[in-house]
Amino acid sequence: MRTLLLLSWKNIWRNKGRSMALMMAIILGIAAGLLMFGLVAGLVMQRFNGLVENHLSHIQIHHKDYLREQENKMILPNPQEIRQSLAGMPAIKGYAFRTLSFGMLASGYNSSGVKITGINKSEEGGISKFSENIIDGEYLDESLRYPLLISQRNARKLRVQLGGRVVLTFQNLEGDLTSAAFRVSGIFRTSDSNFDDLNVYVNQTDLQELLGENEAYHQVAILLESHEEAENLAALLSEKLPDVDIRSWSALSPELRILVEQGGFIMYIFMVIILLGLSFGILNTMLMAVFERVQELGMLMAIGMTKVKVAAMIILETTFIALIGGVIGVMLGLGIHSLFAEEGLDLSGFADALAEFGYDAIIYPLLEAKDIGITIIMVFVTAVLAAVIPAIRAVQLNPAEAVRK
Amino acid sequence: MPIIQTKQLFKIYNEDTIPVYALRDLSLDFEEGEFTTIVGPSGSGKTTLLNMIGGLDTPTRGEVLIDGTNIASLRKGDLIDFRLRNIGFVFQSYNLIPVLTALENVSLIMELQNQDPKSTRERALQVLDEVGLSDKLHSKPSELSGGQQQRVAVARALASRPKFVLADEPTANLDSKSAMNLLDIMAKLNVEESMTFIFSTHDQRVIERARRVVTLVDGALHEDLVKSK
Ligand SMILES: Nc1ncnc2c1ncn2[C@@H]1O[C@H](COP(=O)(O)OP(=O)(O)O)[C@@H](O)[C@H]1O
Ligand SMILES: [Mg+2]
Repeated sequence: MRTLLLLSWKNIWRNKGRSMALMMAIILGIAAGLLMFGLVAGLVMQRFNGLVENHLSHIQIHHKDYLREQENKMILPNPQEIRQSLAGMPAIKGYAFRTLSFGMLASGYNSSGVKITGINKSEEGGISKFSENIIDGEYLDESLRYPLLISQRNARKLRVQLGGRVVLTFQNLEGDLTSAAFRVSGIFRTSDSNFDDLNVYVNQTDLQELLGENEAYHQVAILLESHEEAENLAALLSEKLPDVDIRSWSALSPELRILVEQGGFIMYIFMVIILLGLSFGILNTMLMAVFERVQELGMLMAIGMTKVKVAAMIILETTFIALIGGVIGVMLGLGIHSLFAEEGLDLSGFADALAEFGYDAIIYPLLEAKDIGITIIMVFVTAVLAAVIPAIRAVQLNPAEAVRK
Repeated sequence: MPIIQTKQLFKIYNEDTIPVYALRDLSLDFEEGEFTTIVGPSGSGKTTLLNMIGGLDTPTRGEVLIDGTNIASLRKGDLIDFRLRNIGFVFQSYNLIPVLTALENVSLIMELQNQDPKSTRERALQVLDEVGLSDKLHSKPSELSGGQQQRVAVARALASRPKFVLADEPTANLDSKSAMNLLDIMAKLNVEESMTFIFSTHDQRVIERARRVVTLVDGALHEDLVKSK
């Protein structure tokens, strides 16, 4: 065995250029594969966290018909009961009651259809990082009468600035149109331009006052310790609270569900493509290495090297190359990865296009040890499998004919 | 009992199309300790005969017996093992592995036989000394002359103490001085290691050194001459 290992190792360096080229291909394949894994995982994770932490949360509770009809009068019938139920639940990080209305936002210059969310600042802070999106002004300044958070896009569209006045018009619970003047207390910007176009935030008590009902809540957003518990907990809550509509994030946002489910799948497709390319490279290189050494392999078999050992030698040669390429490739991939993992990969050039789909301009690739392990194993298995055909070709040589050449 | 016997050996290539009779009805005995050369013009069947005796190729008809064993009766895996243990080979070219040193090339077969590393090394050093290459132990084949390479090949063939050594035109690529030198070494080893040698050649000066000359013409035995000492 030692002899075989030594011989295989030495054989790699016979045609340095060719072995190096193959190693290079493996290095680049692995590095690219790892970066790809990292980017896709990072993209998915950021989109997921962005949605969940900005407004979606893990579970939402609504009036039975609210999600279908979205009428202001469909308020939660039993907020007290819901609070009691949530209080005793495990795995809940926090929850926030929200008051919602669809209406018209107008300045002296322009107007825009918006979804108004009335929030309780302290509750909301426990479940969302939305306040991090505020780029100017303050998060619903209590000292103002009727403060309002508006997106940068809407502020531009309506030509209003901090402290500026806008009018919100919507139906109260009786079905009558109400209007009130709000002051821009803060300006926000998320990575999702569609979201920004549609949403404004006000104080919950202000909105409830205007709706004409102090206990008017349309939505409860619940954040869990882990998103994986969402389905179970939603089911559990549904049993306790059969009169309201309770959904997990995957039911609330099919887009997100598909992204999370398919994200991993897409990565494996990329990986398979890279590996297919690699396996052809390996196959080709090792076949050449076999054809170049027909006489020598024939001689080895003639003097008594068994077919198993000849095949093992070819596979070992490939394995060594894959091993060297693999180790360097992982190091290179991790190196580049850690570069971007801290600073993020800045795709600002495509920021508008990305924002259109709700993605951040800066992507922080995400690599788990598991992904690295899978990558290495897959490359290794590919290398060995790709070496099988050249190894078979080698042992099929007829020593008598091979040495005659 | 002869160490090697061929019995009515035929090798016919392309039997179904245009048959080539590489060997015709060849019956030969080789005794232990012989120093025999197979001669004949190019295409007369020398390589084919050596390949049959070495078990690298199978006869169309007839048998090859080594120590009384019909090698056609051995299973493939056993045949390889049989070759490894019983037969040393020297080819016209491509005898050595270019990435290994002379010492490593000579040790290779013993290592493939899983012999004890210490005795392997001792034996390799001994045979390299016998072929006069003690000072080239760590040279790669590319750093050796053609004659030196063939001497390494002879050393390797001998190292694992096979029953006999088959050498197919070992001197064909050598100048006459190196050829004579190689022959001297083989003749010496024939005596000192009492090793049986069968080698082919069409070099007249080489033929003169052999003690038995088997001449083939068109695959058939033309003459079998044993010289008296
Ligand atoms: N694989 C083969 N197929 C067909 N004919 C062959 C093959 N190998 C050898 N021969 C023929 O067999 C004859 C003997 O060849 P060979 O044993 O190589 O002769 P020598 O070694 O004396 O030159 C030649 O006519 C050669 O052309
Ligand atoms: Mg020949």
